Amino acid sequence: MKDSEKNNSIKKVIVFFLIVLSLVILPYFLSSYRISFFITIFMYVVLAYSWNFISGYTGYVSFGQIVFFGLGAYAFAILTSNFGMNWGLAVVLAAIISSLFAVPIGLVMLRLKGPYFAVGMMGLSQFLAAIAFNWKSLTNGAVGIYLPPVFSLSTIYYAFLGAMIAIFLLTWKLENSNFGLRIKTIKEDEEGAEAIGINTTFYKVFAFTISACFCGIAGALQIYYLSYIDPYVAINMSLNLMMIAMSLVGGMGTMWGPLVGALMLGQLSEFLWVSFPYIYMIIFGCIIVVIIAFLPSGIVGYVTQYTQYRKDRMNNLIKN
Amino acid sequence: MKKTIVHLESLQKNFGGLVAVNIDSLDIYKNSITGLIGPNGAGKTTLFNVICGNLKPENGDVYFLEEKITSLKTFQIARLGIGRVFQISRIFKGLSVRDNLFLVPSKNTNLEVISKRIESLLNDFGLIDFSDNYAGILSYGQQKMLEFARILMMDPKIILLDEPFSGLNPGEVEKLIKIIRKLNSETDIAFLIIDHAVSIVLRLCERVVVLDQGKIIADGLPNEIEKNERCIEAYLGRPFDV
Repeated sequence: MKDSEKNNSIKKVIVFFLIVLSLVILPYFLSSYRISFFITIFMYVVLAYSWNFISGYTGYVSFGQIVFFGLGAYAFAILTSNFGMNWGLAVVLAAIISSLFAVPIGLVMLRLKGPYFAVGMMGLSQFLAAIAFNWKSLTNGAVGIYLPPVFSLSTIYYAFLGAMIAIFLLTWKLENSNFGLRIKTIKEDEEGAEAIGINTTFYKVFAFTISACFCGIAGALQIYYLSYIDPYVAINMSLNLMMIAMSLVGGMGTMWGPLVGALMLGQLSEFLWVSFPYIYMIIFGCIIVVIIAFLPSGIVGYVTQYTQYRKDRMNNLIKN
Repeated sequence: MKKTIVHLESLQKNFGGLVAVNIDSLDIYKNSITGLIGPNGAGKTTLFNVICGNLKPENGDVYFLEEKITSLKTFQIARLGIGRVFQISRIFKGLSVRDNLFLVPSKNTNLEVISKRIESLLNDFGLIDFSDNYAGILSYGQQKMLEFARILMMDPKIILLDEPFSGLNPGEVEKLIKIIRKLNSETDIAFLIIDHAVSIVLRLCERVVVLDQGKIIADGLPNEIEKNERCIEAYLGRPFDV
């Protein structure tokens, strides 16, 4: 690496470290309400990056990643209430369970293309909801399961912070590795990728599993936070759509898109809910539609294209 | 005795009631340049699809260097050494030119060796100035060059070319012919070329196989094929006075 590049990288690492550090010490200065707010934002970020990991990079747009959120949620609830398991271990197991389910689900569902995959995943989420409603001995159906309340919000804050950093770093690794390049080829041209020897099935199932794992972690932590689960909370369709909207608005298949989208829409939905309690959903939906109509590659996508355009123009002017 | 690289045995591929490919036996020889011509619908691209594992035949087998590859997946067949260049350029437009080459799986894992290889290929194919640009900005001719460079990263033993000359201007056609000839003589890569530009095929290939309605109707030297009555009837046509 050239020296200037090395300097740049070191700068980036330092900045990243500082941001993480400030997020780590933040809870000491915040009220419970504010910590809750951050927990929600962190969860949005985790979900947005999880969705982006499979749908943004491979082009397999899932309308049902919430199914893994739900699996993680129920796994956590059942492990803690029926088996009295420690919360940390339950979260880890929830992640493992989501991941284990993701492999066979992925191998089957990822054979479907485009809209069929999208709708198929949505169908799967409804299927899980149906199981949650009806398998009363396991899930207590619509009545739900009550868990002991959490006394320390900071614990949940740090758990979500950890998950957020992890999925962020995994996304960074995807953007900066040969492995990640191969995942990207799936979105570019899957058949073409196969023709040059890339095992696309492996790469897309891998991305799908990582996505599922983190959705599962988010689900488990959310239930820990709410101290309650029922099929509506676990297979939360509005959260399902939020995941997609955040990545789309921020920029699908980009490093910063999900972050930008999560922060923006997270803030926006909170603000709208407070200011327009009855119609905030409609306004929210309209804003999303407008942004996607004018910036189809999201905010980050647009900024990247624009700076690339400026760069190319400069290069052209210099050449001539 | 010429060595066979790809052998087709009793190969049959149907689409419903339509028999697209019906070949008793065909051998493609190592280091050869073989042409595959025939009217539209003759089964040429379907044959490529079967060889490369995109389609499974109803009957028969494909052998690559004595190994049966009929049931293998496309990417496995590609890794064994069968490269394919499609009719429409299939480079990854959203990735950089260099990355298009970098991501190709190869047996070599040494980063330095791979980087050097990429540099030399980019130089040979006139793409070095565009290394860090998105592949999508390349002209059509340049994209074809990139596809070639990328195929070579795979260390193929045979390259299947589906209408490589379509859309190229005469200068680019000459360039491509030179590249194929050069690769054929300097390495031992075999070429199997489908194209409708019969004059180019007859000029470039040392052997021509003619397909019509899924069957081989002729197989021999270019000048034999030119004079073959059946081929003329089915495909080549007679010289006419305008």
